[in-house]
Amino acid sequence: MLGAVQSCQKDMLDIPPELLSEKELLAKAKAWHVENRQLLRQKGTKGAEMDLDDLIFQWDSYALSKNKVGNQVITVPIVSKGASKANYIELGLIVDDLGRAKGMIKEYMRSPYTGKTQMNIYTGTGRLFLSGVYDARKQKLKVSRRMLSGVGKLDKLAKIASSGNSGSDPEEPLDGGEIEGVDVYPPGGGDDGGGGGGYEPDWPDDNGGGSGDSGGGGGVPTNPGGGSGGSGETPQQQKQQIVNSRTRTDCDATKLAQKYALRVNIQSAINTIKDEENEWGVAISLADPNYTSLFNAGTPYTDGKPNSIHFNPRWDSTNGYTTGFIHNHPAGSAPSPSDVYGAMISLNTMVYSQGIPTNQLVNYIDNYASMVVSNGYVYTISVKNALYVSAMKDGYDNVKERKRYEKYIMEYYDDNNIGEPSALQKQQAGESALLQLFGEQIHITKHEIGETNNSKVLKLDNDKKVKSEKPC
Amino acid sequence: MKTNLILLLLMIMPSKFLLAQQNTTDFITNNYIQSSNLLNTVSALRSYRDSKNLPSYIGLRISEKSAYYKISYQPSGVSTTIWGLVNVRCLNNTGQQSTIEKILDAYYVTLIADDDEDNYTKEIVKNPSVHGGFFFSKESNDIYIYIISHPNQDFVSATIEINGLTVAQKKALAQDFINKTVFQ
Repeated sequence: MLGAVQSCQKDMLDIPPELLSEKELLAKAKAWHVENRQLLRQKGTKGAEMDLDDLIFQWDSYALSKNKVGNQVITVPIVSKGASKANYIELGLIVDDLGRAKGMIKEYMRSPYTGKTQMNIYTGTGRLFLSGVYDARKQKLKVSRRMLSGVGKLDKLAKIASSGNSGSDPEEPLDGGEIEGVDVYPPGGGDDGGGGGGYEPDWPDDNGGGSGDSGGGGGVPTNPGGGSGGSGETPQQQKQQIVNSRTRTDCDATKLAQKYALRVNIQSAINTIKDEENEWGVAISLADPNYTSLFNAGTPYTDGKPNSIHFNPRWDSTNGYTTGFIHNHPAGSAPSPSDVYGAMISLNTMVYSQGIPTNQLVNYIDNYASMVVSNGYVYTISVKNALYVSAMKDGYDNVKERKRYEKYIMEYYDDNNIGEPSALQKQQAGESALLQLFGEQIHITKHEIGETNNSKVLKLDNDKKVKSEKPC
Repeated sequence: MKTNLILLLLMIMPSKFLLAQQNTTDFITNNYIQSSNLLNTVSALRSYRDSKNLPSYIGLRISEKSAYYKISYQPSGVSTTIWGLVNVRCLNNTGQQSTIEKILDAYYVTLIADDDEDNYTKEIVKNPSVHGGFFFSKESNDIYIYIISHPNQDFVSATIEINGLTVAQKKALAQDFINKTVFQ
């Protein structure tokens, strides 16, 4: 289990919220979105009026500002595949004084900048919790309907309210503020833009021009990111686009696991560490970052601990181009949460690093593998959705994810009437917990040590039990 | 008519009867587990968690395979009572023979995952009628307790969430919980 990176993550979370950089704030917003998608997957779509699968978050077109009490605000335009062109949807998220992300999805039925418009506010999972009439001049929402009965804290909604990382239930709106005074911070509309990179939409003039309240015309931007796209993209923008859109299929995941399993040097590394009583690790790197056929295996090492080992992934000509890490679990357990992200290089860092060209970023995403050798099996964790992975890596809350991991494991034992867990049940409990935590972001495959063409992807069934499939 | 009567009964029955939990008292008695402290609806559980600052972190649910109770503890030498939450699950032995050491270790290695072992307290508690064991991290408010009856080896898992206790107090609570468990 990979431990070294966790302390760095804690350090990052300890930074006072007012010092969050643009990049960190964006990572918080992405992490919030990923967390809500996970919650939706756990709870199902029952009660969700907005289908998250229909929403395309324009992560390149975010804007930064501050609200009236000084909290940082990030807004991200959202394009809905099914929405009318008159609608405008955006994510609004603040980071409060305790560093907690609180967000909501705001849907304006007409222009948010002229006159009055019907407005709906949804939780991060798409559950409608407020409706009302938004007055663009006053920048206030007069609430006409409060939904989600049974959620006890609705009357205390923050100015930019709602779910996120602060409480027991990420879906539950939280915290203080006047419900009648929901302020709106549209992209580019804040009084403190926070530097470059923000999106400046082509808004109609306030209280005037444009299409007025009629919508439909050019008044309401439904594709706000268009201004920065096109052929003039910088390498950084091109890399961000890759991160935003790169996904890997189940078949890609099993092929990657088998690609590594076929390498003689990796077979040798696995056989060297598989029976050790402490955790041992071996770094895997590309011989040439521009080609993905030749991998080097590093020298096995250990920290002398039975349940942890440090690893620092690198991507440079001096230290090598590490695409992954192999280590053993002497206790025979499944991969732990830190095994998912600990071996990974931040994709956001790769995007911002001028020395990494786009093809190398693609090579990294497609070949990243955290391999865990445990009780006769090899687990291979790889990227499923690059955007979600980048959010997880940079927005990871170690304390909270650890709590969730423990609770999912206990739920597994409870649901399956397990007294003393067998070796297999211990693995299955961990697999189930990991897929519940990170199933949106990563693939997990599993094969027996020595197998080279029988890797299977792990999935959750409706009872949160793990099933394995051979997709191709 | 009969169908209508059943439907009527179902409609007027309090929701707690519709959300069956495990009837812990069929398996064990324990002074820490009082039927008056049973939390048998999701809303009651949510409300209690909120009031005691015990966030769930995952979706709340009531399961028929375990039961939630409010739990109180007054540490030795302290005048105030601290309230927490316990989730209890009981299983009758179906013939498996093991030891509390093996059972405790099986849970420990899964739940500790990559945490620093130096932060953990782990201990076995045995008396003539029960064998128990517990572990917890000094950085967490969770206490994991496992108990088997002696010699029948019926099984109890109890996870306590409680704030504000020192390591010594958590240890004392876990020891006392085990010693106060009586299998039926």
